[in-house]
Amino acid sequence: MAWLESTALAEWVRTSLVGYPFVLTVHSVGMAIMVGLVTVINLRLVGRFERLPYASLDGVLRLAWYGFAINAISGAAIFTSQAVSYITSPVYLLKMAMVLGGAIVAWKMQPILRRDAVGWDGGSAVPSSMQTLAKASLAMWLVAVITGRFTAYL
Amino acid sequence: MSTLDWIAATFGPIVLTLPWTWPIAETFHFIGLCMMLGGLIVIDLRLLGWNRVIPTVASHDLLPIIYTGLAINTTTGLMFFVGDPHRYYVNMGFRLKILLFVLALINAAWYQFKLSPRVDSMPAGSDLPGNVRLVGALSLGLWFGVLILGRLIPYVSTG
Repeated sequence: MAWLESTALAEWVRTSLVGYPFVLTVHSVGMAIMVGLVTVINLRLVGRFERLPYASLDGVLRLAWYGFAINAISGAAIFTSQAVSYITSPVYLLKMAMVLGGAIVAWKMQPILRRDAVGWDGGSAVPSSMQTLAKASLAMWLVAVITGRFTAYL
Repeated sequence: MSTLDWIAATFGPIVLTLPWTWPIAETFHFIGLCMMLGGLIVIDLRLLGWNRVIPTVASHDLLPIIYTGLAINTTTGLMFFVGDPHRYYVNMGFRLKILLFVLALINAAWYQFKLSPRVDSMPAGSDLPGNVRLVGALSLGLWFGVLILGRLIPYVSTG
């Protein structure tokens, strides 16, 4: 961890005038894309936005992954700048657990969306297992955003 | 005593010094922005021709989550401003953000009241007129601009 903090990237994020604001801003853009779009998908699966076709959700999720990729990269850059204090922060570790859990759920959902969404638009019910995944995802991303913000304070 | 002094004296003690008020309001501001941008990305990209399986009129089901996010962020945003008005009033990031915010609202009103009634009658999957695509592109650019400038407020100084 100490070695991570000594890399050129960590040095740039920590000390340059633009480094930290730049990666933080990129991280907020990625969050808006990933969390915003995953929220749309999850709320649709639990019955909101009634006219939005289920068949559109796979495309929405594919776009959301770009936000996730942006944040994996910008998040790694932020992490290197203060690796020692992040890795020992319970709030940060909780956040990472939520992000990992949220990503796994989204990854599990994708093939199901691709296979069954047209059928749901045709009138068959969204299985309760899928609705449970959607609720878990909503909760995990909400906690991820909250703990992410509080990482700066705790 | 200037207006800003009065605002700071009245609201500063609540928003700025009461423990945890500021971080909690910030967290709500983040949640609100996710709600807004998630809905907006789907509506605006659809106007630009993406995910044509969505009838444009169906994308309007997303308006309630966008308006809820807007209400959360207007409330918490006002809290930040009245809590520390001297810092925000002179900040170029804040001023530009508010400018883009107003333009984004005008753009959204233009779509909702002028263009959308015509667009809604078009069959799903059809190519949308150029002015509708322009509104979609402007909306994405302006709202992401609002987000980016907002995030930069702590790091830019006075103009």
